[in-house]
Amino acid sequence: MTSDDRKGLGQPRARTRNRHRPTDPRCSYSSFTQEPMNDSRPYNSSRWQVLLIALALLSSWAATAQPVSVHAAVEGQEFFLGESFTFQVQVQGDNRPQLPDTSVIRDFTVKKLGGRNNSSKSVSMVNGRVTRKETRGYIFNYKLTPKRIGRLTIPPIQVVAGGKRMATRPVPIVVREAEKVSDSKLHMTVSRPSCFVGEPITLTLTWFFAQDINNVEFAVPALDLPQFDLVLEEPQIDRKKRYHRLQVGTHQLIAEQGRAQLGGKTHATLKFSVILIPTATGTFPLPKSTVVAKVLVGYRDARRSSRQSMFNDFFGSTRQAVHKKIVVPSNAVTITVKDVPAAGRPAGFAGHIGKYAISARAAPTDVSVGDPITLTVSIGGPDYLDRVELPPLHLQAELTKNFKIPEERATGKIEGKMKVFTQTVRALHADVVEIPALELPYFDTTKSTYATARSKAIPITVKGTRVVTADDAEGTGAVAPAGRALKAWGSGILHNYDELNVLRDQRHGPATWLQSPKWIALLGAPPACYFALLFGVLWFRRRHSDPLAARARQAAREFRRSTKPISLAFAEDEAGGHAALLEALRAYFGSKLGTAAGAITFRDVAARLEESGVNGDVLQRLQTLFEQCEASTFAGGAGQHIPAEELLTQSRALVDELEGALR
Amino acid sequence: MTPHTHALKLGTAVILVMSIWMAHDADALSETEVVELFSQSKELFRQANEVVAEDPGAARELYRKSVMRLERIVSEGNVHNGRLFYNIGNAYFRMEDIGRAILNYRRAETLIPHDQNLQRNLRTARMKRLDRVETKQETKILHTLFFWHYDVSTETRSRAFAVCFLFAWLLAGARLFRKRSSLNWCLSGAALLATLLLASLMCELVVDRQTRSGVVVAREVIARKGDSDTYEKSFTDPLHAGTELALLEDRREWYHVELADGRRCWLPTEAVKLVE
Repeated sequence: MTSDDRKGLGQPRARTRNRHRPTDPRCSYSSFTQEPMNDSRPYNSSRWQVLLIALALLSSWAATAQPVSVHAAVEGQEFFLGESFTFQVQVQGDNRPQLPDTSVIRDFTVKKLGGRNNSSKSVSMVNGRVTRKETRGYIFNYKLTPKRIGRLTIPPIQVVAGGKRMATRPVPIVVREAEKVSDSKLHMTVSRPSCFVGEPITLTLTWFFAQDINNVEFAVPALDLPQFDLVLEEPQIDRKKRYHRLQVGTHQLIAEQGRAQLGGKTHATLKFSVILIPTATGTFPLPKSTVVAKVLVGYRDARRSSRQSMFNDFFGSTRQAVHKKIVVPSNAVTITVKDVPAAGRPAGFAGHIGKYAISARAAPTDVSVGDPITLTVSIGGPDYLDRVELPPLHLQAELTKNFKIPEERATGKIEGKMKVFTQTVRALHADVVEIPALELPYFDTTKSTYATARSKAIPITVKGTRVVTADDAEGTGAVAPAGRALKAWGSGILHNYDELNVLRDQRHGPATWLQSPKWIALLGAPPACYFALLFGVLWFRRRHSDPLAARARQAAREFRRSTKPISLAFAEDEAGGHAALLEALRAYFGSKLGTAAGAITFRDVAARLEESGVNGDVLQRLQTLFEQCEASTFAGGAGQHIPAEELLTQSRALVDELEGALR
Repeated sequence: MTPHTHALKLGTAVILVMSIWMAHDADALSETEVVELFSQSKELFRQANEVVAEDPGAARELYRKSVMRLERIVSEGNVHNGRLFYNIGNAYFRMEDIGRAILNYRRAETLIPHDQNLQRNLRTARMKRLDRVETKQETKILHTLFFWHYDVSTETRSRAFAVCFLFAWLLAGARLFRKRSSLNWCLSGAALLATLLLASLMCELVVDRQTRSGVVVAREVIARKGDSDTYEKSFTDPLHAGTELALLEDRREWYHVELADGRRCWLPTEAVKLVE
């Protein structure tokens, strides 16, 4: 029998194909799928083949089917008191189990960390054999923190999976007392040990440590208490300080690194704060917080080979750091939460706890009835403003009497230490003159009484507007003013001027100035007056600046004045007349030459006169005059005698000539 | 030459000047005549207004007579008053002579530039003219920069100059007797203001004499590229009454002019009247 014959029987075909099957399973899958396209066998043969494949797949599925089971897993067997560890409940064979019941765990604080699907699928085909493998599973994660020391047991945790109720095996845990670390402490404080419902309080944890630390892990159960709302606020970052982002449970916090004194020693600190808002009344002991870290306790020499030794001798020591795990518990804190009293609660009280202040401003303040007025309300007081809301303005009677207030309250925006709200109000009538003071009732926690903060009233101007009513539509309402608004007519010219001032010549400017006596006087008189005044002042100053020169200028005039009475002196006493004339001459030359007039002789003046260009004839005559006067005065009339009148005439003529020469 | 001869010559000159002055004065209208002409003009204008609806032709003649009297007051009475030119412009506007109306409004503007009625009527007259010529931007900028020169009237600047001038000389006189720094500052300020105002006035005088403006008064005139009818026309359309221009050159029968948008052309002198 040939192969073709066998093909005609239709049975050994698979064998032939097997002989040429490639080793690559994908190739075999490809050839397997393409084969039926060229198959000329009857349809029944193909159906049998598909059925066989389906049976093979089913058999492979059945082979990989997995039983449902539940296991418990922990990351260790021994822990310190307060040290958290991960606990898992692993379900196999079902990826949709019911939530395990962890209420049976009493010796540990349980914190749920969520769960994850642990299923997987894979398909493989080797030598035509298809293997489908599917595993189903689910893992529940928990963080457990032991509450006491000793040999504890995580009890069996019941889980409903795959329709069955199963339980994990119990897990023994040894819990030991944390080693006392003298130089490390964890302080937990609250801003107020007693507060009111809704009043934010600040929980602060400060860890003091003195050694190098590593793998820090905080456990703060107080963050997850149902009686408190947790608010995480990022601190204001100071660039001069160092900060670390910590994972505390499911929360991320930013801790500030610093230094502080503890027990007289300076410690490094790690500090962070959160805000707790109590939602229920009562006394709540906050669970102790813990911090787990590895601290450096020393170094030890590492084992090394000879090759390592060679390198270490060159690069340095091979000391290995030795860390010790420490667990530092915090102090205990209790918070007492009281409810605000019902007695004396104001009508508009909206849950504002603390001490508040309110201010408001409005814009615009000049409006018509119905126009929107933007009211900006700023509320401040508490440190934490995020949950502060605008008081319900629509409940304030003074405001709603004159204004339309929307019931929707605006969401505020924190700006610095204030929360700012913007609300639109509308005046209802034109009689409104102010926006009344806004009231904010609050419970003053410092005095444990209710109080009301008030803003200042804002004066506004409201103009009336016509209100369109149904009467207007029917035409039976108030009658609108008749007529239309006047509009200016653009074309055409305006009236003539009829006054007589039309006939006044209005030409001005430099071109007309010289034709106008007024302008000529105006332009000419001031400079003329100024220069006249200037010359006068200069002349005056010149005359008074040099007294000797002034005397010199006055000398001739003084001579003439003093010689007038000399004629009479000659008539009475000739010698006296000569003496007076001599005196006048001396006075003249004294003034003229700037010298003392007392005993001037001709010799005294001759040289000066010659220097001044006085000619010889004049000097000769002057000498004769001096001699004549001196002879008559001092020698009893000796020498040449000249008549008195002629002597006077000569002397005056001489002075005139000298004036010309000495000018 | 004796002193008697000198006196005789001086006396003859004085008599000659006085006679010329008297002759000149004799040609001018007396104040009474000016007032009379103004009264007649008002009456004629009023009559024209009354008949303009019924008999436009008669009204036109009455307006013309009214204008003639007002123009006599200007030319023979030697009265240059902004409101007088404004009234003349109004009469021409009523006669639908937009060119002469704008011309007289422009003349009035040189004397009463801030008169609101004048500005309103000038704007109305300009809106009625047929040619629209855009104003050059530079002119607007100059007007903005030197607003005090352009916006303050010549009369106001002249009076301000007179005050500053007088005050400066008074302070200079006072400085002869008192030397104080405050006096020096005041004197410098007054002198500076007086100088600025004088410069403004002189600048205006020079500009007025150099750049004389005018208005087309002919109903329609063809602008040419040269000073003859044989030159090609400058624009596709003729210019019409009311088009304002600046005179660049005067060649007796032709004016070389620049329109407000900077374009230049030649116009026959009889078609243009200068604002002056």
